[in-house]
Amino acid sequence: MRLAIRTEKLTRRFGRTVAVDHVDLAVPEGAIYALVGANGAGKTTIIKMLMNIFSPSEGRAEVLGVDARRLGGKSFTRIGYVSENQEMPEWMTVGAMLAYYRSFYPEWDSSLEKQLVRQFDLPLGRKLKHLSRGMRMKAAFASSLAYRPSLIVLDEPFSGLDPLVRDELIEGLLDRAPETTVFLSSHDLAEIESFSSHIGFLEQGRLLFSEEMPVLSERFREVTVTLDGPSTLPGNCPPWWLQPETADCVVRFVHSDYKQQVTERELAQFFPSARNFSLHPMPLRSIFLAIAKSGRNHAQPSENHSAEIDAKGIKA
Amino acid sequence: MKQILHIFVKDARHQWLEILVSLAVTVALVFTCRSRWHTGAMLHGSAVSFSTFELLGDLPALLVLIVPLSWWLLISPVIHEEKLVGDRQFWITRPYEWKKLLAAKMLFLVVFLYAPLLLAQCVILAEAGFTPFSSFRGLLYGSLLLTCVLVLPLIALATVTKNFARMTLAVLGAAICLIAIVLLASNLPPDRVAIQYGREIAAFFVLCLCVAVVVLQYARRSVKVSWVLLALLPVVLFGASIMDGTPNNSVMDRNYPHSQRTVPSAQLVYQGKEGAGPSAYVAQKRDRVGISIPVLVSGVADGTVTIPDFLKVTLQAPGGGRWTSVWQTYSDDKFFPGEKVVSARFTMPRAIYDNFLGKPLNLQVTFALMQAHAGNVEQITLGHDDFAVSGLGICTPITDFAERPDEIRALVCRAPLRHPELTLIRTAWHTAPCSCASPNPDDNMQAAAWIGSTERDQAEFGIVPVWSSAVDLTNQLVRFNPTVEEVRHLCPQTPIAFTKYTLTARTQASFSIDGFQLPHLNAGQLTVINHD
Repeated sequence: MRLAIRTEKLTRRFGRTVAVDHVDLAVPEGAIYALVGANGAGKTTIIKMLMNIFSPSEGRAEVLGVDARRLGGKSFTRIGYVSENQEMPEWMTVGAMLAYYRSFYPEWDSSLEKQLVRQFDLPLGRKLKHLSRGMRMKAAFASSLAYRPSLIVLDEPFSGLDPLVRDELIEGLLDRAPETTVFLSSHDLAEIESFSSHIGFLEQGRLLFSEEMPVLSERFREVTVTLDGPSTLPGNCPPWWLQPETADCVVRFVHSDYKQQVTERELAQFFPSARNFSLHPMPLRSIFLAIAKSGRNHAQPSENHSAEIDAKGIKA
Repeated sequence: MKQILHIFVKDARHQWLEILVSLAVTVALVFTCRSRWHTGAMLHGSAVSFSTFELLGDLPALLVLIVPLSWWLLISPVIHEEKLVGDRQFWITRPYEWKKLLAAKMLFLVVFLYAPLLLAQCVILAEAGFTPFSSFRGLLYGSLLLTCVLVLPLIALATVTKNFARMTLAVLGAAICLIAIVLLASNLPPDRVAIQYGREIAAFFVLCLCVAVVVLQYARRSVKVSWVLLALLPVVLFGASIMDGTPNNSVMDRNYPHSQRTVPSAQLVYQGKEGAGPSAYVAQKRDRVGISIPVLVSGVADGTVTIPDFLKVTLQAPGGGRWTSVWQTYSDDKFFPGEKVVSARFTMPRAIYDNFLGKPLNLQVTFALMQAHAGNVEQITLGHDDFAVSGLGICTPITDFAERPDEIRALVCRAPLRHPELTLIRTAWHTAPCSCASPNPDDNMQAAAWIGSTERDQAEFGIVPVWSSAVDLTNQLVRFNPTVEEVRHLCPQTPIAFTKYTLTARTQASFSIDGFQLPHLNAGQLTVINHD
């Protein structure tokens, strides 16, 4: 598997604050990788290190096979970068900006540029400083997609945009997706769930997990256990049970390492008198919230899950 | 090259207003200079040679300062167009190559700053009566000086700031630093000896630091490192001012050799007994005492002039006490053939003066002398029109006495790129006003004045490439002073001679006196002479 982005122990400190802490990432070519995390988790810092805007305090990163610290000049003919807070040449009109960028890129596709202008309904004669936020993002997208980059890096691209603009941008992005790798950061989970192929979860600078979307969806289940009598939690809940709570005769928690047979056996061991087990797949937003609220210790799937269950079961 | 031109065109399109302002100021300067040459009024070439009060009442001269300000307005936006501070700039994730970006910015400055300036300087030279082509090397050298002193520091400050406002603060900070350095340097002890090539080394460091900041910013955008480098500038400048004292002995011995083969350019003898005797005065720095010793100068060869540059004094007491001064500057005097009594002035620390006062001393005074040889004499009959003098430039007779419009008060001579060569101007005054029937000059009333210097750099630092020097040739400005017994007039048709002097030798000459006693300071003496 060829990787578009690879990081090893990537770390960035600002004074005493560790913004990114030993992050290992692997983004395969052709993936749509979403890096999610709360505000201040370190998403933008990682992206800025990948784009050689910041240099890492420790570790290294490779982007399209190039050491990120050497990224610059011609390397950016293959990379498109759009950020929510990126400055733009405000005095230029949209048309002038596209014309200006055109000569920097040997692979600039003028017909694609026209198509993007039409698709995003961009006002070519209007100055960037007079555009709305949504229109500015569309202009930024158009100027970053028109040269068919091998990698598109988006930092919170949909933040603060209305749903219509968001859909337009996603549509424009997905049209290009088959020929490129997309790496984006977001804290708006609903919008990325529909199209991301991979997801990484960042919390306080640490990457809690990084995996393919279907695997992640398969791993998390919302579990509801109905008991005969008043419910109590087992004293030694496994660490992969997130947010366990009880109400009357019901126990609820999020199972973060669901494997059908193993989980069923595990539930039977912990709740031998259960009347009913109900296990539901979870949307990404719920998974994100469960992990965020539970803290980082519970996010990683366990390698020796079955053995641990057996041991705990025996103890219980 | 394509990328360089592309960025250049973009900058030119966006900065058209700043370009226009800068060009307008430059054009205004050309017109100002043009009118000045025609009236013979003075306009110094250097932007730093004006006093504030002169500027307030002199808008044209103010333009000389406005030109660099317009460069500031030009440099700031063009560098900040692709600013190097911050992490949100549009261009840092685009295929910009830093060398090409830097080249595009330099091209912009060449086209919109240097080219108009060079063109303006050529026009000014032509308007002043000189051939621009023959001065082109000097103009390029002048541009190099301007780059080092003004343009490069402005570029360096622009690369480490986000916008014009921040850059303005940085420039103000730099100005405050410079003022502080000048104030600190003025309080340094005057007896410090200069380190050899100290100025050159400091200038080299300043240049290197500025270049390093610009290159580092474009190559790496290392703002913190760049600021650290810039913070070294005041340290280097202050260090340079500490090192910039009087020349040391080895430099003086090399520049003013004692060689046996060197013919002494003048003989110097202490003239204490026949003349007024030595005197002491309070120097400007209160912890120092100035001593003035009468010296008879003779032996200056015909056709030469001896110019004292420095003097050094050694005092030795019989008990073994000894004090040797540093080389102190000796200016505003020239020794001609014949005999002349001059005052050799030096300063010494008050404590040493008090220690040596009243003791018989051995005094040794050494002069560092330049000998200049008279060249061709060019004689011209004064009129009201401009006239050219070889090696001096073009001179304009000034006739601005309202009540006697035909009389000439002064000459203003202009030279390309630098002060003119050292020239002696001689003429004869009239005792009667020029309006009298036959105003013959009185041969016994010779007027003489020096103009120019022996320094021969390619060009001096300045925006206006024409240097004017004025020579007052009458005493009529002080004619209401009762001590002026006779008013001197300079009339048209008077012959005036210009003698160009060329530096031929440098040497040292000394004399010593045994039993010399330091003169007493008079109580309540008010003489304050700046001789440090």
